Amino acid sequence: MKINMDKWARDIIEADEVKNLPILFFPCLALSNKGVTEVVNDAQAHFEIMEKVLSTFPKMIGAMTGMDLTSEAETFGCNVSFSDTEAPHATNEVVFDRASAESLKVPSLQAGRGPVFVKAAQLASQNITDRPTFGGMLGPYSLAAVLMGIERTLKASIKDKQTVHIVLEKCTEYGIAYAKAFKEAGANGILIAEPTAGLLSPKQCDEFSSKYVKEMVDAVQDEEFFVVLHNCGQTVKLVNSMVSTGAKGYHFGNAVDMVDVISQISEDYLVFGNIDPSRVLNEGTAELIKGTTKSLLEKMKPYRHFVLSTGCDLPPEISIANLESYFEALDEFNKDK
Amino acid sequence: MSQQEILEKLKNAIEETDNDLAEEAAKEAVAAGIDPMVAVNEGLSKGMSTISELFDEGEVFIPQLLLAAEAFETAMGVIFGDLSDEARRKASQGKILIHTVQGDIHDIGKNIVKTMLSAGGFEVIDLGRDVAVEEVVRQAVENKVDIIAGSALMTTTMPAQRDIIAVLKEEGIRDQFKCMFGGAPVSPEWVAKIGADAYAETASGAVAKAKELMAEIRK
Repeated sequence: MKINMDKWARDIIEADEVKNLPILFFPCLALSNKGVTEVVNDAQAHFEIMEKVLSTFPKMIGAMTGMDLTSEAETFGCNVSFSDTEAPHATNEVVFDRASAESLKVPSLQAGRGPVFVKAAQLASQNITDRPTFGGMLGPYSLAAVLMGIERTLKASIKDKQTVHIVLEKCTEYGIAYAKAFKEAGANGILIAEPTAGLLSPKQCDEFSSKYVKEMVDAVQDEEFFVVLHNCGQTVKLVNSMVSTGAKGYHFGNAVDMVDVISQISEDYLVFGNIDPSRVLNEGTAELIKGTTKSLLEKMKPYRHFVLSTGCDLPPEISIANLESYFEALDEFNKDK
Repeated sequence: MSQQEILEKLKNAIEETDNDLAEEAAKEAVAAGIDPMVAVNEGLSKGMSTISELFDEGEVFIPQLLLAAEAFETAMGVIFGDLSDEARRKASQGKILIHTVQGDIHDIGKNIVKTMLSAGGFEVIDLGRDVAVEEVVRQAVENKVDIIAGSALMTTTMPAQRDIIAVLKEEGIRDQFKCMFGGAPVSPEWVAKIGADAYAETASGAVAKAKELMAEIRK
């Protein structure tokens, strides 16, 4: 279903209540009889979990596909390890040097598991009509780092830039096609996960990430399609670079103090963040979760463009009870406003 | 070239993250008969300290840190290449076994910590990534290390740290080793909960903690 996403964002900024969009998918498998492997291979099963997330936590302001950050790399030729209890992970690299970078083929969008997530987004956009649907995908530098190996990519970003750029151009070509497929399927936006760019200097982030993310943004973002750029690294010095992509939303992880990043971003953009998935939402008591969430909400009072979220994708082991504490904290905060 | 000039060249090679220069300077240090520990402490480690400080201040980023670490390791290989195990042990601040836990293939952080520990004068045995709990314990015993250090980058792999402590206890050898852990999802509370000895938030923090643990061992 088409939604005017500019209006959607404006309404969030102008609302009295703080809104909430955690990157939440895998923990809700506990409410079904499905495992991770099934839902990252079967569009219908994936969509059913998206629905389950919203029926369990109806205050979420959008539906989102699960962040399987391996499907793009698998389509490029990496092997992926699947388990029913954790998100999949790539187990090998496919680019080792200039020659393998040059011979790397940009895969067809019909290959691999990309169509599973596109189809799930299509089902969501057809059946969940009261809020937007977002597709999750990996950013170009983060995908290149999976294909080349993270350490090799980081070193080559200084010593052999051309090889990295060759891979990045191919990742971006695939990423644009994938983003367009989400758009054509009826999704209202995408969340581009670009965490590996958080390891770069601002100048390197411009050169190796933002330039390519901007190409993706320019290819798909418009009034009816909203791009959120996620980087859960140490991004305080990277905000300008991230904003240069032109994305209309920025999502930050718990490596940063939200004040330090949101204060650099104008109210024309939505800014999402950043409750710690591990130490707070997984390990924390109800008291800690509520306290941390309310403390963040208090600090974000001056910033109308803030949207409460998690600092990263939530792993399957986070309990529903802990998530309820997080949602309750927001309800209580909004009631007390 | 004087000893001082060679030491300065070693330091500069690390600060400039220049692997070729580090190898060249290390060969010159060996040829000039400079004591290996002097070459490390007065040359390489000073360069690594500069990089480490700039990293902590947010002026140097991970790619530069990795290249500095690579240059450091190259020079160390040249300087210590012909030394006996005994000579290395005498020159060492302590012996540390480092690894990324079973199921975890993320090892950038571990590699940086390893280099920082080497720069801090520790003898470091690196088991690599995705290492089984039993293998960690076996290698710790076999190599008679002082400290077992491990990194986990995912919440799903953190329990392997708890398992290491459990196996050490089961085998009655817990008191033979100090155990320190880190990694993005790891917290001081987790480390205390599983009964390990230390947690470090950063690579430079890991060096400080390792020195504290060695002071406890040598009391």
